[in-house]
Amino acid sequence: CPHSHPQPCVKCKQGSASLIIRVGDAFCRDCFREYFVHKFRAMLGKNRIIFPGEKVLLALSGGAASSAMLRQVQEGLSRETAKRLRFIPGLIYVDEGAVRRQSLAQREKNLAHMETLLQATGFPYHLVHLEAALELPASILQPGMRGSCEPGPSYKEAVEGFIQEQRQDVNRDGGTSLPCLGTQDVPLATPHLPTAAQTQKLLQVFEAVETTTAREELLQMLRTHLIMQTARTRGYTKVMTGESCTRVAIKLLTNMSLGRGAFVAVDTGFVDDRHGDVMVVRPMRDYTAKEIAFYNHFFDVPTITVPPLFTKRREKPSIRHLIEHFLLGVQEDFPSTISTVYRTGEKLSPDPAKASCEEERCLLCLCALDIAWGE
Amino acid sequence: STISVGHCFYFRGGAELLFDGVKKHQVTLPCQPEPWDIRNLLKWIKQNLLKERPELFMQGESVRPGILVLINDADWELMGELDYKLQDQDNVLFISTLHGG
Repeated sequence: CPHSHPQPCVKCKQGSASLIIRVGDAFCRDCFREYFVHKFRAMLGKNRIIFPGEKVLLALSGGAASSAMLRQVQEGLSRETAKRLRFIPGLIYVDEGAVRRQSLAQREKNLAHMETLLQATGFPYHLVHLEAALELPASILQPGMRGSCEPGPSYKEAVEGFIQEQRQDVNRDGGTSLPCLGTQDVPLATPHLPTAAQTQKLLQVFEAVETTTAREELLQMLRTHLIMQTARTRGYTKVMTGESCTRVAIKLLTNMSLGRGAFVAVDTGFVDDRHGDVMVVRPMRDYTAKEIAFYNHFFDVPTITVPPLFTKRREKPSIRHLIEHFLLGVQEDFPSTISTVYRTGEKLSPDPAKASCEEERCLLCLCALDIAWGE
Repeated sequence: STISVGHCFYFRGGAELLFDGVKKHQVTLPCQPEPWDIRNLLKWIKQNLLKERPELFMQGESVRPGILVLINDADWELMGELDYKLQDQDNVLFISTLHGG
């Protein structure tokens, strides 16, 4: 029903509400900020999967969710000691301009803009072109070996050990020392745009694909391979990607429609460890697209807009597109739709994706081939 | 009849692509007998500002699901959504959350 005067915040009861989240909670800007920041910390804290001093590669698209994720990492690293995040971030941006039908000039402009954003963080960053995916070694199609065979320290031991070391450093320098950030990697100079021949090759591959759905899958796969390769060669053991709750719910239903129902847990869960040595983590999966958009607006998180993946004339929309349209439409009338889909996904086990041996693993997505052997 | 002045309409998150890439539009709405509520505003935007593919911005008389509306930096859900009556100098921001990252 229409409200003609401002509503108070449901949390502090004092500030006037700026937005409604979940099913009807009106929050003021300050309480919303606290809620948003707390959720990120709680997500990482609850899962206890990122160890202090670990190198984590943040996959950034310039879009709303991954930009919000970057901001949370920045905030988390700069917090006072007790609650500070303790890992070592690096950033990666994949330029997909060729398959998004951008001209060379637009791609250059985009990259320059993105590079400015990345540089401003002070973290080491990597700019790669999607064209490079076609030149990856075949080893990218194998899961990597995990670091060592001896069991590592428990999370609690690791944190305690890290804090001890920090204290020792302080005593030695006689002053405060910040966690070592980015002294091992220097930021790479912007690679030149790929050659026309490389771009042509990439476009040929994409144009040979017959449906928008398959093209989207291909893009996702090549992007993942590129990010994995960068992570591996640069010593990152974790990759963070910015899928929001909304995105995860759409992906869940889309993947089921694509026959990937068995792998929903690894495709959409908080942890995706199919690659072996590098684990993918999705810390934004509890935030709705609306929460992210409002956060970015209120707190000036910079984003860039890129055009969508190209489609051929008169091509039907992809399955993902249809699911998005469907889900968002139902969500309008039933505001717990997306969270319900998301929560259902949480209940599924990642086991079906685990292949027991090499021959039983899909080359492209590294999940178990779900065929019955020997029948 | 009402006239409604000094509005800035902003389009972000990809929504600007439907408006010639222009993110900010400064507008004085013309005189008309019907009140300038968001419902009528959307009709006006569709006729006067939207350059292509109206179905990507609107669905029926409202915005397409996935497009957020902020009136003076507040969620339109707090203000009555389509029924909100525009005041002079009100700003409206449309943020698309579709195919984002």
